[in-house]
Amino acid sequence: MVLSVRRRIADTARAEPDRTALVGFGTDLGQQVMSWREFADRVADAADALGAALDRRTRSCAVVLAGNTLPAAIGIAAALTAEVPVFPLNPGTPPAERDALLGLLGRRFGHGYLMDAQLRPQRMDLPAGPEPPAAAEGPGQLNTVAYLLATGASTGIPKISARPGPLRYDPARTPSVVIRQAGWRSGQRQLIVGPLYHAAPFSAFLDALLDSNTVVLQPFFSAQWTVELVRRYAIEWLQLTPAHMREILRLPDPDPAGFASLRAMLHTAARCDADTKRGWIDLLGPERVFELYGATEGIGVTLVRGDEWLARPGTVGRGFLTQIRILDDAGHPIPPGTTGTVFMRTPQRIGRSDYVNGRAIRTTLDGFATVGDHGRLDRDGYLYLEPRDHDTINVGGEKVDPDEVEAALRDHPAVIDAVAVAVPHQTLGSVVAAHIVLRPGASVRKAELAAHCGRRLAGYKIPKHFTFVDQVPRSAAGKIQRWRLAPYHQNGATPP
Amino acid sequence: MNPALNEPIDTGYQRPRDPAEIWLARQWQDILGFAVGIRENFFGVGGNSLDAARVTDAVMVEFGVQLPLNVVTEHPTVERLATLLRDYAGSLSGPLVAIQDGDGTRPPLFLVHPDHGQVGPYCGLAHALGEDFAVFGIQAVGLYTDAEPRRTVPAIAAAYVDTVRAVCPTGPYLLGGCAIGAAIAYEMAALLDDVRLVAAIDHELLEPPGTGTVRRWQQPPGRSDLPRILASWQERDLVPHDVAPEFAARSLRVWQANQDAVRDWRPSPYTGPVDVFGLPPAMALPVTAVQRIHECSTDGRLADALRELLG
Repeated sequence: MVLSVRRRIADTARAEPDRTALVGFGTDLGQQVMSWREFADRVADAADALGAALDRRTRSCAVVLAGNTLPAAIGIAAALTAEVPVFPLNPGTPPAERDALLGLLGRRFGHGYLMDAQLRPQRMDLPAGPEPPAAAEGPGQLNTVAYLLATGASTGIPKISARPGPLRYDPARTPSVVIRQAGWRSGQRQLIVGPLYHAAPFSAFLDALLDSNTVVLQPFFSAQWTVELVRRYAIEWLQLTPAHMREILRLPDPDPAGFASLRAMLHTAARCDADTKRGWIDLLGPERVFELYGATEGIGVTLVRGDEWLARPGTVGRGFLTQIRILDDAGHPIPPGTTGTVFMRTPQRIGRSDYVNGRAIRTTLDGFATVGDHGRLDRDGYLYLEPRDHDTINVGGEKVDPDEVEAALRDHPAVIDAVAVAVPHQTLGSVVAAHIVLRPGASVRKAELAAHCGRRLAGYKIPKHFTFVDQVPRSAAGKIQRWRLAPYHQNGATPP
Repeated sequence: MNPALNEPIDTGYQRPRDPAEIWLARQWQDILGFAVGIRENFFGVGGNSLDAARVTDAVMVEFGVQLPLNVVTEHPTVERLATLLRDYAGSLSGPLVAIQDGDGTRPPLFLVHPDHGQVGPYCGLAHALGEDFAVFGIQAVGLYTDAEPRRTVPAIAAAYVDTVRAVCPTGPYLLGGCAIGAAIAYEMAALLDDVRLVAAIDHELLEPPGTGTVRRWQQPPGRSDLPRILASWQERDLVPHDVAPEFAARSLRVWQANQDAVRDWRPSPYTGPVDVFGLPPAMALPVTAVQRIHECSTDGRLADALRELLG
C-alpha cells in the first residue's frame, strides 16, 4: 500500500516506538539518541508548524541547514511530511554562493521557510527570478516537487535539480530495487557519513526514513571515527565516496573484524581508482562491495558488485533497469568496444529530475538521455567510463567549475589573471590548483588568496596550491588552454 | 561544512610567538601547502576535514596526545589550538626549533636567538624568504624549562654547534642572528667547516618599529614586578595570553645571561666574511672579519638580499 510520509513515519513509530530512529552528535560530540516515538512526535510538531506558517497564495519551499545533525534530519522529515518541497542547504555555504542558490529557488518559489535549529519555520523572501513564480492554484500545485538538491552535476556550475513529488512510501519501490540489490534490508542500522545536502546521503536518508532504519549521523568525516561508529553501532549498511574509502584505507591496519556487522558498502559520487577498490574488496570481501554509477539527474543507473568487478576490473557495471546506448557525435549507435557518449534510458522516468534554471539534459527522440560522460560497453553490456572531456575538477566527489574559481581569484586586487586546474591528491582524487598572474609590482600571500576565495566559494573550491606565473596560456581566441598547465589529467591521461 | 567560517579570516600574517605556535604553524604549512598566520581560520583558507585529521594525527605522533576529533573545528586558528598543546609541549623546549621545512634543495638557514632568547621574530623572515627555504631557529636554554642559561658566548656557541651537527652533520652551513645571535653565529662559524654565510641582522629589520602595535622587545625591565611585565608583553602581543607565569622570570634570567655573555665576549679568529644587514650590531665584530654591508631600507629588502646570498 502506498503511504504518505506522515502515515509511514507514524506506522513505524507505532510498531516499534522504543527502537532507535536516530543517533546524532552535538557540538561537544556527546551522543544524542532519539527513539522512533520521539522522532515521530518531533517531526509531526515541526510539520504542523511549517504548515501553519505557510502562505498558501504563493509557491513555497522549505530550506534546511543540512549538516548531519538531529535538527536537520527532523527538519527534512518535517518538510516531507508537510509535503512542502525541501532544499537541504550546506550550512557552510558562503554568502555569495548562498545568494546564487536562493536566487535559483526564487525562479520557482515565492517564499522560502528556513527551518531553524529549534525547528521553527522562518519565512524568507526569495529574490524574484526572471519569470515571476506562478501563484498556487490549488493544493495540488504545492506538491509537484518533493525536494530540491544543489548539484554541480557534471559541469560544476551551481544548479538545483528538482525531484518530482510528493514523496511516497511504496513497499515495492522504497527503497529502489537497485538499492535493495545493494545489500539493503528494512529496519537496518545505517551510518550516514556524507553530508545530508549531498544527493547520495540525502536519498539514503529518505530511504532510511521510509524503511524504518536506525540512522547514525556522523557530523563530519574522520576516517577513524567512521570505523569506530561502524563497530560501536554494529552498522549494517554504509554509503561512501571514493575519498572516504581512500582515507579509511590509509589508517594503520584497518581491522576487518571491525566491519563484521556490515552487510554492504555502496560507493557512488566519483570514479574509484583500482587500488582503492581492491583495498576495500580485500577488507570486506567482494560480496559486500557495491558501486553505483548514475548522476543525480536520474536518467539511469549501473550497479556492480565486487566479484563482478574483479572479473572485469574498471567496469561500473551493467545497466540496472536501465538501457545503455553508446552514440557517436552524429548520434549514431556504435558497436561494443568503441568509445562514445553514454546515453541511458530507464522506464522509471517518473524520478527524472529537471533543472530549475533551465539547463537541460541532452535527450534522443526515443528517450535516451546523457549527462555527457564518455565510455564503452563490452559484449556483455558492462559499462566502462572514459575520462571526462570537460574541465570540471572533481574534488572528492564535489564538482568544481574552474571558471568560478578563476573569477573569484581575478576579483583580488593583486591578481590580473588566473587559471584553475586539477592536481592529484592522495585521497580526494584531485584538488584545485591555481596559476596566478600578479599585477606588476604587486605581491600577495598565498594564504590571503585562499582566504579571499574562502569568502566567495565553498571550502572545497578553494585552491590548495598556488603558483605564480608570468602569463597563462590562452588560445588566439583568448580561451584559456588549461591542458597546457595541468600536470595531470583527472583520469590519468597525459595531455599532449 | 565550514562551521567556523563566521569568524574573521583575513587577519593577515601574524607570526607565531612561542614553540607551540611555531610547531603548529609549521604543521599547518605542511598540510595546507602555504604559510598561515596564527589568527587565520583553518577552514577559511581551504583546510578540510581530512586536513584537520592530519593535524590531530601530527599532534598524536609528536606529543602522544589524542585530541578530540573536532578539535580543529572548535579551535580553528594556530593561536587557539596552541593553547591545548602547551601542557604537552615540553619536547619543544630544546634549542633547535624547526621553523620552515623548505623544499630540500638547499641547506637550511640556522638563525640564533637575540638577547631575549626567543626565535619567534625569525618566523616572519622565514615567511618573507619564501616556503622553499628551510629555516631553523635556535632558542636559548632556560626559557621554557628551569635549566640554567649558559653564560659565555663560546660555551653557548659550542653547544649550538652540537645542535646544528645533529641535524646537519656536514656543511655547507648558513648561520645568522640578531644581536647576541650574530656573535654566537660568528663563534659557531669559527668552530664549523664549510660555512657559507654568517649574517648579522639588525633586529629592527625583522620587526620594524611603527607598524601597527609595537611588537618589539625593548630593553629588559628590572625584576621588580614580574606579573606587570608579563601583562605588558601580553598586551603588546609578544607572548601568548596563556603563557606560563614563570616565563617572565626565566626570560629575564636568559636576557641577563646573554647580555653578560656578550659584554665579556672576546671573538675567536675567523677569516670568512660577515654579512651585515642594516645597522651593524652593537657589539664590536672583530676587524679581522671582512664585513659586507647590506643596507636593506625596508624589511622586504632584507629577505630579498638574504635570498640572493642563499642562492
